[in-house]
Amino acid sequence: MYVAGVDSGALTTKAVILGDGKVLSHEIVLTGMGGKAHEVVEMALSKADLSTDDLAFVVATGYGRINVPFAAKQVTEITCHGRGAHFLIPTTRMIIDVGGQDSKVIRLNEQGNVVDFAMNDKCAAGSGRFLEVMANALEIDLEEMGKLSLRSKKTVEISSTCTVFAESEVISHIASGIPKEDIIAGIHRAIASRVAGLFFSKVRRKVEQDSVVMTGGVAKNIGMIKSLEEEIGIRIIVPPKPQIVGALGAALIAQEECFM
Amino acid sequence: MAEEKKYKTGKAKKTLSVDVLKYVSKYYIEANRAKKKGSKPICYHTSLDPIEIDYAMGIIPMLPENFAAICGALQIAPDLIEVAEQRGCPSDLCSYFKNHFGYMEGGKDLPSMKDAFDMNLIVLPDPDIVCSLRNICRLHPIWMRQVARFYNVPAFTMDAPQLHPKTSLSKIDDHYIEFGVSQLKDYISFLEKHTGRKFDMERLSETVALSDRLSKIFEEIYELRKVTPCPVGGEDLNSLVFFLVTEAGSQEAVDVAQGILDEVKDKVRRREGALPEGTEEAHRVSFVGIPPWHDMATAFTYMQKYGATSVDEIYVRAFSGFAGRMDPSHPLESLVRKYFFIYPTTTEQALRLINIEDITGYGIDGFICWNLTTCRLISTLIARLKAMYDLFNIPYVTCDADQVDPRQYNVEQVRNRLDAFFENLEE
Amino acid sequence: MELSIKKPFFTPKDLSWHERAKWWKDKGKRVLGYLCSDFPEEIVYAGGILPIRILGSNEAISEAYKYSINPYSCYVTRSILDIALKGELSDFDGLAITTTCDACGLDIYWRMEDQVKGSFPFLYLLPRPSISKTESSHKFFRVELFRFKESLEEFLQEEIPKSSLAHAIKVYNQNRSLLREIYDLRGEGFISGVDAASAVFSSMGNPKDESNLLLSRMIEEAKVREPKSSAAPRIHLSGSVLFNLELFELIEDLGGTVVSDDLCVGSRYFWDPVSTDRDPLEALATRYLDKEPACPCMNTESKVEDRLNFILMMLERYKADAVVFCLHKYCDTHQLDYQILAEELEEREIPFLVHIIEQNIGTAQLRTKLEALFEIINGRG
Repeated sequence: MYVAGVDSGALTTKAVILGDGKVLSHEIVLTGMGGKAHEVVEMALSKADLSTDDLAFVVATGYGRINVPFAAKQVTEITCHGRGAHFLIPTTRMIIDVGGQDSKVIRLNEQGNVVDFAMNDKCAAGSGRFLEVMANALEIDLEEMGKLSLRSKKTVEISSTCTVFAESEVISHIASGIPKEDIIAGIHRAIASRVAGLFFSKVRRKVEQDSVVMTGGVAKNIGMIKSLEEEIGIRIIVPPKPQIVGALGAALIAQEECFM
Repeated sequence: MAEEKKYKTGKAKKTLSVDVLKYVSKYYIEANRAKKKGSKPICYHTSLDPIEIDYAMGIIPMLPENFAAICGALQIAPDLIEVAEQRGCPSDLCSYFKNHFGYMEGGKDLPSMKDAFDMNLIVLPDPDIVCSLRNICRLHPIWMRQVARFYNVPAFTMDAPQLHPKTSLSKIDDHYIEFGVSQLKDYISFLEKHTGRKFDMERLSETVALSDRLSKIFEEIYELRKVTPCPVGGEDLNSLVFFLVTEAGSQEAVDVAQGILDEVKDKVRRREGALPEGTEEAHRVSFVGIPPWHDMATAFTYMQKYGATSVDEIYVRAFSGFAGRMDPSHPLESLVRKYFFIYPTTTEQALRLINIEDITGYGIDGFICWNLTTCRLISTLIARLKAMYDLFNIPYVTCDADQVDPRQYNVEQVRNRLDAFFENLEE
Repeated sequence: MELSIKKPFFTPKDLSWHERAKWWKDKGKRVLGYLCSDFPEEIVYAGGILPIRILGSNEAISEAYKYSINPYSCYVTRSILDIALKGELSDFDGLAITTTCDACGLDIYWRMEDQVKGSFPFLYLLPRPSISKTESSHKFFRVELFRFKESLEEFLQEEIPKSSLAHAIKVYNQNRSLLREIYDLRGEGFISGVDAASAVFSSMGNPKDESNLLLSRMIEEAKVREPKSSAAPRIHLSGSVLFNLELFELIEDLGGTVVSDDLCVGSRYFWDPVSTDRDPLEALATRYLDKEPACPCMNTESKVEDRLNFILMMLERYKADAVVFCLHKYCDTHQLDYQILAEELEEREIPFLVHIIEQNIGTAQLRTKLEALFEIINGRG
């Protein structure tokens, strides 16, 4: 029996195909570049030599979840990230998901059920969008930022919490000849401090080792992880494909639906 | 990884010889010593509480707001505010509050804090009791209730209701005074109950007399600032607020203020201005709002290059108790008159603060408004003032800032606005 | 036929401010606007004046910024100023402002006096102490209510007799008990969350005696209906002012239902009755100072413990599963109280979420948050 989970995000659309509880294939496409949900699912299906007729159930998640007509069920990305992360790393209790539009912190219980969550306010600081704006100001690729920042010897303070102010700060740092890697490290810290705020707002007790997992595309940014670890004072586990955790969670829920 | 703190902010150059920070340190050291020995109880207050009563009863008033301003000046407020935000404090809330909340919630043990506090000997001792009179903003009493909850100590709240806009200060209705006096009596009972100290009305008359003396001296200093060149600028007056808010009712404050008054008189005699030697006084401005303690250089020193100096500050006047002299033979009623009918509760006081005639007396060319995004009261006042300046065609400039948090502030933007303002004044 | 009967449960969207004032004025009577649920309408009603609550709206601000209003105050305040500055309240004879908070109070009074063209013939600022449950605060407020009554009498050029006040209190208490009954029926599934909320909204703008007839009819109709099953997530809404029923509708769209609240446009408006066994003004002073649920803006001795107890009581009474806090950006007092309420709810393992609103409720993100909350409640999480 085959099921699919599709995560229709602001930036990318992701699909995961499950067969008998195992991940058979996945696909990630930029949402703006023809990443229509059904196409992404079909691409993932073809990787697994399957077709839409083989699918017993499809669950959609992400911001665009209501616009996925072929999905039998819509579930929020909060529940899906919870399910996906717990499947990959059963010790997960806290999930940090820094997405394109907003960041979330999700708290799970031992069974992997979501018990609490928080999302950032409408402000872009503390979201993937902030990184994008800054990468643009620095004229570098978003993907390069993580590695570059590791070369930093002296983190620059980005003092403004407002994205617009911070951008002009970054520009003036560039103008004064400060190395890009130091600026990027500063940018990471600025976001990390915002996300840490969200994190601590949902942590009352001590956080156990190996219980904090980061999901979402920004988790691929190693510099970001490092800054976040410094801010929250605990190691963060990143699953191999952090972007597809939401879609995986959706697929897992699709599978449960079939057995219900 | 080494890091660099870079808030691009600075201290203002001062004119007067008095070292305010020295007095502040002394105050905090003595409070901590008393706390350790248990010799005097510590009562936390919000600003413009009737601390003359505390002085009369040998209780030490501590103001977390004043502490926050110091943290701002020492450039450590952002670290404390970050702690507060990590504990779920919304970023729009008052920065003074967030600074103190962060301090309580673990901020005081941050390594960066310890150095700063130890070096300047500024450590806020834990409270034995807390009190707040709601006469400024509504966050004040809730703040103190949160402190009481945190430290598990008794709290007392008083309220100064809005005086009807049509009521004049000289004809305040009896029920206002009665309500005030009755609350002050309750406050005294509260203090007696929780500190075991006895209240003595005569002692209160003395502290009220001292407080009145202090206000009188400040009023005189303000009168002398009408002179050209202005003998002392806003950078000095703002830091002197410490004596008004924390030491109203103490002998020390009167002695220091008297010294300052003598110095100012002397400067007037010598026709010595607040501006650096060789700079002609070209513009006289009025400073509106709470100063950005983290960047007094931009707020006050920066304008000197245009030959400008701040000769009047609403903020300082609001704390000065200028609303008429206090009468030591009626101490409770005097305290009600001083603390209950101030600008946020009394239209006439607000009008006094922004009285154009009065302003003309100072020869003011324009207003520099420092708007605070996290302060409902100041941002509302400034919005209203702007409407009025527009109406009377008075030059003004608005700088968006925060009193202690440079993260909500863009120094280039602010300096740019100041440049434009002064360039226009010169035209 | 009266307009209010034709449109039995109008919500702020349905009618313009002009229309609302006009039908009553056409009868040769007067209309007075008020801003806060802590305003003693009974005195106004006793004088034959129709009190209408001015809530603000989520329309974009078009006029007020020209008058340099504070952009860092909550949208409720900014919107009320905008409505007035646009001249939408020009048919109102009066406006009464309670000293609600640092933004919504004196400043609005000043602006109305200075900046609203042809301002209100009767403009009043009612000083309300921000502490309650003390003898001195009651005594003070009694004097202020007396002065308000006197000013109103001067404006009307006729006396408001004690008997009219007593009658007004009776009518208002009846309204309160009818609204409670509607809440109880909602709790049992006879009335939807949206309908119950619109019953409160309409009570804030219609003459109370007519309102009472409508509410009675609503109750009769509901009682013979088949109750809806109560399996859906049952939500308690916490906060202050909501401009309209959008949030109630969103929650219902997502399969939940609002079963209780402590909103200024909900139980905070009507929950506690006025005592009828003493002097009317004295009874009004007591009710408006001590009423539950208290508002943190006006009760700065912060009865957060009382607020918590009220919420817990409502959760139990209406078997609510979770609390949704909907707070206004720049509303310091509610946000401060929230910190403590959140701690206490977490301790009791009651699910909750908080959402900060400004002009709009921000449907896109709120939808996700609510759905995730429902998934938690339904065990899907």
